[in-house]
Amino acid sequence: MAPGRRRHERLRWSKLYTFSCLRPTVVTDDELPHPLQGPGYSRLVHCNQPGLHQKKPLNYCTNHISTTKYNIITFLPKAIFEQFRRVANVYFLLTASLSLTPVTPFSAVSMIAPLAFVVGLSMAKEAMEDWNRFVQDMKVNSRKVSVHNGEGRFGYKHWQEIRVGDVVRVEKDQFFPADLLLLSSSYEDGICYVETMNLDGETNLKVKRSLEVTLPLDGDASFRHFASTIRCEDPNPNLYTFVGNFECEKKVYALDPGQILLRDSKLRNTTYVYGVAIFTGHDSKVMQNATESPSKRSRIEKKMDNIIYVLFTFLILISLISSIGYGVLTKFGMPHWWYLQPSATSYVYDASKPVLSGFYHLLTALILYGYLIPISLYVSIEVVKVLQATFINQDIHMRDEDTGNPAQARTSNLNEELGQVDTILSDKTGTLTCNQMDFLRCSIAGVPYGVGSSEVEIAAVKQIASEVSGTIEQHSSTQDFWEDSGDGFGSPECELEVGIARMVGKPHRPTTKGFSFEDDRLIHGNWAKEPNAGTILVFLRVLALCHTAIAEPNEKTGGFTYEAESPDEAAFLVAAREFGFEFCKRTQSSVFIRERYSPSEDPVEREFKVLNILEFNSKRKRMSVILRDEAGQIILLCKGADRLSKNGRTYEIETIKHLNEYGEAGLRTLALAYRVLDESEYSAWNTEFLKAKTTIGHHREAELERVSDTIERDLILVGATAVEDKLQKGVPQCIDKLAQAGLKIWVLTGDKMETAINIGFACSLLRQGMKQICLSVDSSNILSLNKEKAAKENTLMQITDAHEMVKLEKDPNAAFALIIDGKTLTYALEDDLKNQFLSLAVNCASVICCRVSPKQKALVTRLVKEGTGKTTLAIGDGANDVGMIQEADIGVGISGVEGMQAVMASDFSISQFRFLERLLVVHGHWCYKRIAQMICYFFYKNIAFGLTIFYFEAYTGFSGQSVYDDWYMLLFNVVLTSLPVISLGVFEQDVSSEVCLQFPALYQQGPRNLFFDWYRIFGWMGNGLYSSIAIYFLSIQIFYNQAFRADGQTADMAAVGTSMFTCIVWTVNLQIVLTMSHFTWIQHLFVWGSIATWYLFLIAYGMFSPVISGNAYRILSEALGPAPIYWAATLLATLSCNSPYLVYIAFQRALNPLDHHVIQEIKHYRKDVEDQHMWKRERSKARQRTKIGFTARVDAKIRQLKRKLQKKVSEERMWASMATTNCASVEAVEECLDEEAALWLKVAAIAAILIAGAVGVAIPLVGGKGRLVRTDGGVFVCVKAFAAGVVLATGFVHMLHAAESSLTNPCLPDSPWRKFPFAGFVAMVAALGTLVVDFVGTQFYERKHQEEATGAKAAASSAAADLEEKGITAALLTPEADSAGRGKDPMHIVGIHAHAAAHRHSHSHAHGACDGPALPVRSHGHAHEEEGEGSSNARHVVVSQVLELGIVSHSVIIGLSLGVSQSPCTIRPLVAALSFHQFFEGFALGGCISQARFRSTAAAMMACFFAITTPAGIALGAGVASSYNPNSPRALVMEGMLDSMSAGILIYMALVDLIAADFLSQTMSCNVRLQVSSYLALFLGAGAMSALAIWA
Amino acid sequence: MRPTTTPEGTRRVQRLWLTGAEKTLLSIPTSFSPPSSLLPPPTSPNGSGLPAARSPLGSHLDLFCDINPMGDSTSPSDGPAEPRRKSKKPKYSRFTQQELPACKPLLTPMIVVTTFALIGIIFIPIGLASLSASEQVVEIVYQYDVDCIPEQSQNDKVAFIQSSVTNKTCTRTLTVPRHMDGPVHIYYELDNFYQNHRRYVKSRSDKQLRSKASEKVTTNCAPEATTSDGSVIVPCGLIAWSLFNDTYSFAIDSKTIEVNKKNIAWQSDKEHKFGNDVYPKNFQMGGLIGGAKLNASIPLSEQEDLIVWMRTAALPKFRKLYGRIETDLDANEQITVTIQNNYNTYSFEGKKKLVLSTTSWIGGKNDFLGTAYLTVGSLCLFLAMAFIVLYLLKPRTLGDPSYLSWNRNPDGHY
Repeated sequence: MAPGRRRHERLRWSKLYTFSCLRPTVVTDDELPHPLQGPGYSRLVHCNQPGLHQKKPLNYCTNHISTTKYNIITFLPKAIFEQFRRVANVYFLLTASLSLTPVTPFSAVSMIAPLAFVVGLSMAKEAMEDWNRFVQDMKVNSRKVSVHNGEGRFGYKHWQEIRVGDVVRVEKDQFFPADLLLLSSSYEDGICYVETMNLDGETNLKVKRSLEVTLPLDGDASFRHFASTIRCEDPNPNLYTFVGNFECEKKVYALDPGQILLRDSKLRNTTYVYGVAIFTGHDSKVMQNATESPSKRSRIEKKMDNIIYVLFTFLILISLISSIGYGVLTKFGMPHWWYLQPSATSYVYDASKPVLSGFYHLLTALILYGYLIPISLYVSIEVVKVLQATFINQDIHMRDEDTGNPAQARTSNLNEELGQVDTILSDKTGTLTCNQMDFLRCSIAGVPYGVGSSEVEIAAVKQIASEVSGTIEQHSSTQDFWEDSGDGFGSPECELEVGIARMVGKPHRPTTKGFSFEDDRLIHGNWAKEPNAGTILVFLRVLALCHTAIAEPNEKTGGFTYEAESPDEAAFLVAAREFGFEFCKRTQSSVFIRERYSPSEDPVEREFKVLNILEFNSKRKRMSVILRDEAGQIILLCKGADRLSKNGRTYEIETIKHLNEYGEAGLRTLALAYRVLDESEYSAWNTEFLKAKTTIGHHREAELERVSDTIERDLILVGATAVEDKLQKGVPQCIDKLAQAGLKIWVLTGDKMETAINIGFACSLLRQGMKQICLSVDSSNILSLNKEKAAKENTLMQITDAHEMVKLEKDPNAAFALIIDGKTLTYALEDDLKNQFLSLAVNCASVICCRVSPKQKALVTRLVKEGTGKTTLAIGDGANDVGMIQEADIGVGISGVEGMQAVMASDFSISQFRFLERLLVVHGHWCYKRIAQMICYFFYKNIAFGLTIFYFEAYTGFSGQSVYDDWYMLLFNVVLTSLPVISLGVFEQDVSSEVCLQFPALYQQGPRNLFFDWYRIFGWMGNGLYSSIAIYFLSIQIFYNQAFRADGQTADMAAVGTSMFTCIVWTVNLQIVLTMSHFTWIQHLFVWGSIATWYLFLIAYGMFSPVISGNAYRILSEALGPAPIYWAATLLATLSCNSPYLVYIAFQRALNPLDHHVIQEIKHYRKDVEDQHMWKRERSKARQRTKIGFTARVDAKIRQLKRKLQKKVSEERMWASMATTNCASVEAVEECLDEEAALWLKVAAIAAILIAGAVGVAIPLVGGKGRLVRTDGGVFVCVKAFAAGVVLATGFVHMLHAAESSLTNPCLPDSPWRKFPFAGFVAMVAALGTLVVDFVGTQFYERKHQEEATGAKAAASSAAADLEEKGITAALLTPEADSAGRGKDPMHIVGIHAHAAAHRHSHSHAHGACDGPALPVRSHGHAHEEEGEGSSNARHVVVSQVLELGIVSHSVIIGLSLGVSQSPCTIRPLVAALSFHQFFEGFALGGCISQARFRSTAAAMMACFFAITTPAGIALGAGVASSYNPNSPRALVMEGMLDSMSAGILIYMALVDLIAADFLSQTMSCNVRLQVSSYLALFLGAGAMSALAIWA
Repeated sequence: MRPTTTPEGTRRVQRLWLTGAEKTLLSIPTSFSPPSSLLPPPTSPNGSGLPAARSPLGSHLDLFCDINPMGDSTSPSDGPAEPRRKSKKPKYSRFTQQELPACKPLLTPMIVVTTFALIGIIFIPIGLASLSASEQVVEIVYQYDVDCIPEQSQNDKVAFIQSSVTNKTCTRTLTVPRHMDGPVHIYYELDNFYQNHRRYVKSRSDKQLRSKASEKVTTNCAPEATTSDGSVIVPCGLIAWSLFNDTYSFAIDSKTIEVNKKNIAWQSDKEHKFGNDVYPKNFQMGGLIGGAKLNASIPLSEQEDLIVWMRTAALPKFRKLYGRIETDLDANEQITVTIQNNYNTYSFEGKKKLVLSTTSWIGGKNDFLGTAYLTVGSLCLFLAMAFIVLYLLKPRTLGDPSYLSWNRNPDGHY
């Protein structure tokens, strides 16, 4: 295509781009050429003079690449060397060469042929693989590209012919043949677009620009005289750096990566570019990145090597025994064995040199016992693996319908490794996603549009449906929820299923690529009928205008194809077109769109002048265009990340909601907004913007960002878009299944972090509620001098923190996701950090690494592989995954649309990610078990066989004679036992493929290596040992020296050997029957056929000339066949050899069956059909606990719902009184609920408390009455003091606390209950109230007394005693009453002191003075003995009644609270405390009552009342317990109030009426002993009661 | 398995679908293939979905083998694959899909117990029969290697035997313990004689023995291949050279008993291995005389002693058939044996025995076989009992899902 024709398309992109493409016109200081010196910067390129580079000193390599391991000459030595790196092969080589010497016990051919076969086969395979590589290389090397031939003419050349310095022209969509320096492009300003998919997996286009100086070189002719030099760095693997200088016409210009076009990247959107080759062939950066393809061996094979070592040691051991035995026998026995003619022997049998002959014999023995290490094992394994690989290739379930690509096992030696994978490292683009964006939904003006479901949602709905509905089972019991999508069709009874199927299975109309939107409200112009059509119009215009894409007319369809920087943009444009806003043309300054408002109308073409484009960058996360429409209005259209919506106004809440919903559905979201600018604002801003644009230096970008931000404000939100990054088919399901199989999945992507996270959500690797640990170091924010170090420290810190966090997490369901970016990964992968990083990563449910380079992918893979020691599988599709694919234990390539590099490097290739499930769970599982069992069996059979040879040696004087014919030995491994074991290795299935898929947990048998651990291996070896012993000695004993048949012949060596060999053939073949669990006709044919072959062989061999068959001539037909003892021996040996294994497996099955045993049984008895419920249940249980994947997501959702439900239930419980409470402690409080026990305890409590209270109150009363206890005596005072202490502590410690806790209960609303300390306040109020009652009561009694006194004043003094007896508490004394009334006496007014004083006073009256001389304590009152008496009695009455009131009220409450409790745990201590407390309270009250000298009936009534209240409260509480919720807010408030009131009352009573009254009394003050003991009692009581609080 | 990935499956699905309510879909062109994930799978893939309906008798028939036609619900039975859709499409085959009908025997307790019991029941009679057969065999063993050396030579037996002048005839009398039915087989038994030594075993030439034409083939025969003057020795090799040369003759009451030396070798050996045109040549002519000499006028195929001797024994202690006495021997008869004690076993301290033995169907006296059968048989019976007890004590319903690992230890599967 002539460049001239395209000239009209040339656009000055720098006008549009703000950041990356802008070239400051002035050459600045910081762009001075790099001073290129020293090592690493030696490359010198003479442009346009390729010839110069072929000679020294520049002699750079050509552009020919070769990835082969060998060439014609090196193949033989190298491949043979490779082969003999296997230790077993060296051994076989040794024996083969020894077999040419006389020491051999066998013929040389039988030794050399198998070795040649094995080595030849492997080498042929190697050669084949290398040939494929060669062909691939040739394909690449012979690609053609246009190269400057001189004289301004360009001609096509093969890639391999390009030399450094060649000027090449690359056309659109071609790959760059080498690393090129961009000279010019079809665009006027030297820009070109490059896709670096193959390098880093990124699909967005990158912009490269040429130097200003080379811009004129834009035609073929202009290169005629082009000459310049480039000095640059040496070849290196770093893709993102380049340092070099371009020297042209004596001027030096600096080069940077922006001018370098890397080999294997692709030219896009640009018609052509010119470039000069800098690095060619293996010097190019992509080749430097390539790691040599390693030869991989499976874990089982490596372990097999170890077994071989063990066996080899064993072999040497028995050989040594043999040769020592031989030496000894030769030395001492040989001279006497005249029949051997010892005097005429060769060196091998020389009796005079036993050591030497012993040594020779050692060689013989090494060959003879070689059957322990079977060469046939390698052959068989090779064969089996090839066949397994064929099955993998043939599996139609792993064949892509669309492309017809089958799965392909490219190397067959890793089949069994597939069954042991622990971690999968996956690429993203092309592997998990198709890299195709589909416009799926949008939200405009707060209204969601689009009814299509993302794949994640579809799968979610199905799963939830299958979990919720039990009725589906009958239809889908044997299938999985994604497979049974439409089972309900035609079965109307299954409504739910149908509903889902409808939703899911609705046939898509033929869709446009990139557009899956389904909503009739918007398409076909219907949007104009929507209520907010205006907003929709804006929305659609934003879609059509806010981008940087170019439209190219598509001749075929007449429409346009869009070349956009990112697939998202293209999807928007397609969407806009579908809605009727077709973007059709972009010119230098304008964008043209065709708007069609209804399908009938003709489109209107509109032109929008582009004033500015504010590019997208990752910091701003938005892009804007500023346009002037046809009306001259300036508008700013903006699209960006969710953050943008903060500026929005009207629809913000709805839109954010929708954005979150879309995000949860795994969609990529962008918010759209616009803003109308007025002219003046714009022009002001534009000047600033232009200034920023021309800013020089590294501040430019920051400045531009800042300026851009100033205009992107006050945006009006119009809506949001949701684009589905189309996952490959079946990816979420596959990931789910793999997770259930216990596999860990890491995603390594070159993409941006946001994209990676989105995809993580889409394929259920991440989910809502997962804790995301994002590790990223922003080195630009680090100001430290040593950036590297600081960044590293920062990384370490982040890792440590995250680790701490993971460790501290208690919730078993919590899942962590680790997201790390490439830069941080660089530090994390360094030696000193990598282990910490790995241990963190291993603890996270999913790991996503973003922006990683191909090399890093490989490094991460290596870290996982080596750090965890487990099998890793890497899967990817692009060239950027090659390193990882090669590094991993298994590399899987996706043979998709991208190049074949990944496939070429891989071990297995599949065409879709979803086939990985079948590849691993079915084929991997099978292959693992097959190979493991096969190898075990192989060792078994060769030990069983090989050791019989050894035993026989002991009977031949260790001479090296074998009891078997050479042919038997040869046939043993080749014919007689090979096919059954191959059929085991190829066809064995423990369970069918469906079961494998249904029970992913079965896969874990592989990673746990249940079938190839040392126990099993040694078990098999032991079995072999046993069999060899049994067979040998049974045969020998049976055929000993007796005649073995009726004719009287004795058995010679041939007969013994043949019969022994028959036993072995039977035994090992029967053993494999016991090992196999799956018999098709093939297995039957092979096993029984092998045995039959043996007899057929014997007959045939016996018919050969005796020259060949020797003593075996007619052995079966003549000698052994007719002898019953031969058959009897076979039967005996075979069955006795296999019995122990049968016992073992029967025992294991009986007691400790493995999962597949049970499933086999279930299948066998058709339980899965009969009991579908069980089958389904087990299937859902049979998955590893997983935190990723779809099931985990659903589980998390269910957990969340359950939690919500729980919350709701508890809320409802509380709803009785209060709303919106959160009361989580319900369960905690009622831990040990046992109503039965609680009821019994309550009954006991009633009795105990009743008795305690009654006794307590009765003692002082009765005692006082009967004068048994003197109420005024010291003891009584002490006890009363004790009781006072108890009451005081009850108030302070128990009641107040209880009130506090009930009033601050979380079940109560914050306001007002937690805003104010109600407990204390109420207590205080209660205390004050008590004071008032006290006072009023006292007043009342006094007045009453006065009234009575007026009637009988004269008799007052004498009647005091009578009054007392009548029970009328009266205070007679007027002066006191007066003083109180008039306020003369301050005591009654000021409260506590007053009372205390009054008590003291009254006591001093009541009890007179101390013994002996009365002490004038107070000035007044002594004179009024009687009055004092009366007054103090009134006090006592009041005190006792108030006390009674307080005690009774709180007793009711504590009774109630005990009564309602349902938990024995709370009741038990409470009973003890209450009894104690009741007793002493009763005592105190009783004392008061007795002091108050009530009438006995009244006293008894008061006492009874007291004694009954608490039990009554308990009874009441127990009665309402069932209906009463102690946590209901109402009950809590009630209880709290009552508690605090009682607290106030009790405290007041204790301090004022009991303690102050007694302790400040005269009695006390006079009696030191009493004082001391009272105080002691008081403290003791208070202490004891407080101590009770520990339990109560 | 995703059934719809087969074209047959897809077509079936379409058919299913079209028969459904949505008649409008009939207008969809046949090439329309809806995405498989959106379709109902045609049937369960392995037939386990509804196999009961398909083969209701299955569970009764498959006592041992469950021939479960795994693929019978999938495509192949639904119609032959039509290649017109995609020529690249591989043909479905049960073989490549690893879905061949298979028999999957299950090791049920019943089978275990039955197997062991059966082994016991079969083995014990065999053992008893063998023992009784062995019991019927009458055997007279007489070790004469020491006996037949005169007193004066006891100290140097080797010299005695190697001397050509000493009289090596020795006559002894044996008593028949029980009646012996004819034919009575006469064996010589050597001990400590390594006929299985590699040097010895190899030292022969089958070709030479077989035909006169290959007389000169003496490949492995050294040092008895040629005489010192280079002429070929027939039969060559150490085996022939060391041919046993003791002879026995029997008499009862001075009446000689005929010893039948015919047919002591295998018929095939006589006919095919040892040529009837091959005559001994230069045999035992060398400096060293090994064992017996051969009559050079009788072809090798007639030299049955040699043929028997050439069948090398497997063990250093062996018997070889010497001849037969065709008549019955009555109990307590006195047999006079005249032994020519020529063969040198004294160098290597080997014993020499003369054995007279009858045979039964198991051959000679062989108690071991019967004992072994009885032992193994009773062991298996015991195992059968033990398993019965085990299954009674620890019963496990087969297919009980509670034994699945995720039910047994919910924390960690394995």
